Amino acid sequence: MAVSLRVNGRTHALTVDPDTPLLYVLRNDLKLNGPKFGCGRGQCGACTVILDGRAVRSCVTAVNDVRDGEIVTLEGLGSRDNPHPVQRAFIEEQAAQCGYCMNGMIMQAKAFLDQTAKPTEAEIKAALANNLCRCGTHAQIVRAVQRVAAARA
Amino acid sequence: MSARPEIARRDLLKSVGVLGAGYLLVAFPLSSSPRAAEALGPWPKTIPDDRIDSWLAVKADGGVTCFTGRVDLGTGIRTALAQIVADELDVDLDRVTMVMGDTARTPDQGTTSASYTIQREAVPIRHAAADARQMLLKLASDRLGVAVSDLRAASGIITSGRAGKSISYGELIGEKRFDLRVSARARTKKPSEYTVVGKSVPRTDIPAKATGSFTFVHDVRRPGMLHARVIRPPSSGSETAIGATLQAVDMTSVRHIPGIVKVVRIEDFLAVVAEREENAIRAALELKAEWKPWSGMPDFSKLEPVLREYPSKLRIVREEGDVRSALANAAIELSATYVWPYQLHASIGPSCAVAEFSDNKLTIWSATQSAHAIRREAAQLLAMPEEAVRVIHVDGAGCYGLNCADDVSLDAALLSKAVGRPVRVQLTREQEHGWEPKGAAQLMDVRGSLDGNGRITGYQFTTKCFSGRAETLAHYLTGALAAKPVVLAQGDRNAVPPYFGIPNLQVSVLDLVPPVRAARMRGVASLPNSFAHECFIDELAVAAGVDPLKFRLERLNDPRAVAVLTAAAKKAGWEPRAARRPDLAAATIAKGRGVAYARYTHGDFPGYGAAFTAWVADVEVDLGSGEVRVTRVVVAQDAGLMVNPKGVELQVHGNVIQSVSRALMEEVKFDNAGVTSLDFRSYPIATFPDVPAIHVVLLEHADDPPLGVGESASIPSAAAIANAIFDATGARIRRVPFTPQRIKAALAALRH
Repeated sequence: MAVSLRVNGRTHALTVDPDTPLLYVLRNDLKLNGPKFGCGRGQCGACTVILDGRAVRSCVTAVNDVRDGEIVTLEGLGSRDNPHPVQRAFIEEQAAQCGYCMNGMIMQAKAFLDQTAKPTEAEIKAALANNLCRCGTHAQIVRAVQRVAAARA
Repeated sequence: MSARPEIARRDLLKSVGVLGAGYLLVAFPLSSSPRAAEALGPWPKTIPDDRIDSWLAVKADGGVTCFTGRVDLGTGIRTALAQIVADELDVDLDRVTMVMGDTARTPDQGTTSASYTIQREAVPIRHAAADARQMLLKLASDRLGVAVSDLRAASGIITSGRAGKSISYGELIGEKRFDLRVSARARTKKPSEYTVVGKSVPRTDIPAKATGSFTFVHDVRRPGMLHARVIRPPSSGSETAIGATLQAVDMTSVRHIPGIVKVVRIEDFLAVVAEREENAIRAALELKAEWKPWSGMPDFSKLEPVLREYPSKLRIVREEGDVRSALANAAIELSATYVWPYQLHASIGPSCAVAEFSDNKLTIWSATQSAHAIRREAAQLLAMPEEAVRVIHVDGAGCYGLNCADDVSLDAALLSKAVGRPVRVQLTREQEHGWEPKGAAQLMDVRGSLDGNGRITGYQFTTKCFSGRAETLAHYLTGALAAKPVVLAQGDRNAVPPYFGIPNLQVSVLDLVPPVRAARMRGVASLPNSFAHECFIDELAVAAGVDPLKFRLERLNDPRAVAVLTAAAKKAGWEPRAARRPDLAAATIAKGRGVAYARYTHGDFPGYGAAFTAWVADVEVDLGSGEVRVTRVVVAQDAGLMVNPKGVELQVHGNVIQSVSRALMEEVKFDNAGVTSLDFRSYPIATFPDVPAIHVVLLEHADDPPLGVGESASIPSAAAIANAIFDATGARIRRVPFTPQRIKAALAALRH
């Protein structure tokens, strides 16, 4: 069926089964590489996108449920030449090893920082507790989030 | 490697028939674009490792491309190797491009594993760059009419200050071949001359990864590409269960799903290929397949007895003195058994690969650690010449050893050939967890004796390691190979204790065919072996009434080992501690501190030593719930010359967090039909709130050769934590992971 999606400020008309998880539509139809498949169960956070300001797991979100929403992916935040402040902070803190979880970390952090003016370290860790990183880049990721918060304070 | 560069060049001049130094440049064959053939195939069977052109190419604009068979597994060696090239060739780092693990373009440098890349595989690259630099200086000397001794190279430009002339690498040799052998004799730079190596330059891949513009293997797209899902046998994790287990497939059961291109079955290999990914997923779930029931998995809820009874082959790898009589005549004799469970690499991205079969040629985009080996395997499996197969490494999610990256690469190859179009295969989370070659279970028995003066008189160590080769699954599933797991004799790593002056020592290794598909995971057998040694040495220290740090320092004769242990203790504020029996009734939280030391050993016995590492771990044990929190870890490491100290620090962090997770919470669970830890709920890993404060002390040894850091900082982990738990509670925990249940049981036993 025809579905219209707002992604990164643009409207896309697609023909797709409405039950399709958003992740596959973003990756395969819109050719966006930011959201990553990690578990398909909403357990790891690699597929995170921002829907109307909230971080959601695109692997367990049907396109049918986001037709009226404004979706932002990692690509929608900023680019290599003009990164978003959160992306810039992750780059400056070298907050990646393999970088596979990085999409989820940045999107979760962005949504969190938009809601939380001056987060404590414990609040940052709690906000990211459902985003998994297996390489062990946690300390650098927390520092990147702190860097963003400090810069805008 | 023996031919001299001069001779090689003279031969070349003769062969193209151009004479005269003034025309030297035209002497280089202009069939230049040395790698133009790569797109066409058949591809070269080998890239000779003794030619400079195999390792380096200079573009017209002076940019340098370095070709290496080694790949970046998320550890940052792409950047570190580029730093080495930049320094040795005198070009700016941002002008160096790395091409890694492409069988059509890069020399075969084996499997990227064992923390070898910087330690060993960077050496030929360094030599090639040094030879290239020397040749560029000679070319510049000819072109500028200035003696080599009057020339200086910097930022890809060779300048004669005296003559006031300069010429760039691009002008000298851009788009042309060096056509020289690597002499391995050109002078490489001394560490004091490095300007890029040793600096914490930012990783080159992170900006793209942070903005979604990086291409992981999961992001490879080919025109007309189809999506596939494989369906594995239900006996997850057991290789022996494979073989004639798929009894029937109802091909009509997925006919109602749109865009199904093909259901592919080859013996036990089963997959669905679809135009759209979500339909492949649906078809894999709905396809009716009948598998022969299997329930042969041992009862791993009783891990120790199962491991102990499993048949194995004994190797004595070290025997000094007479350990039996030493143990028999000891003033104090101790014995203990340590158990390590099966664990998962648990890469955040399940493995994925893309293959394209057309015109009897096959290309595989793969996150494999072993591009050349996978080319051989694919050629064998598909009965193709190796020259018709190309494997291109593309970054995957961090793997920490052998995950399913190789499996999925051959799956994609089979499927692309079956449908004649490019096919992308994405494993599910359950498949990755169920079938990845696990980190091996291990069983360690230790006996030791002390004399009346607290000297170790005897030490007997027996380790039983359950690791195999984990042949790529497609060989077994298609019936190309009989599914007989092959033992991989690697239990010997760090099996010999690091302490000297033990007059009677026996170290035995039991290698056995694993009941579970298990191979190599970060730290391999060293992590379990060091867990046992470093806990047991603590037990001996306590029995001798000596501070465990002092007890170790008195028995280490390598000054670099002493230095890391001393540095960690100093940073942590270590205070001498004797055995204490904490008053468990008085507190709800018990705090403790533990120490451990190890130098990771990789390769065939006795192996190569990687970085030296010491840990001091602080823990808090909740005496009610049994929960252990690691609150702080101090790690001191000596990695020799650090190409990129920031990269080393990240590797230390990664090793610390992953090994804390493994020590505290990770164990694969099974039932009699296979693995039941099939997602992140049933196999939890450390999350942000679990992560300790980490203090890293990197010792400066810039004049010593680089030592591997990919695994080293993991090795002392579990022992340091277990020793800290003992310090806090008086309970010895000899079984990983240190779950609340296990801690509670140990505390209850103490109270009785």
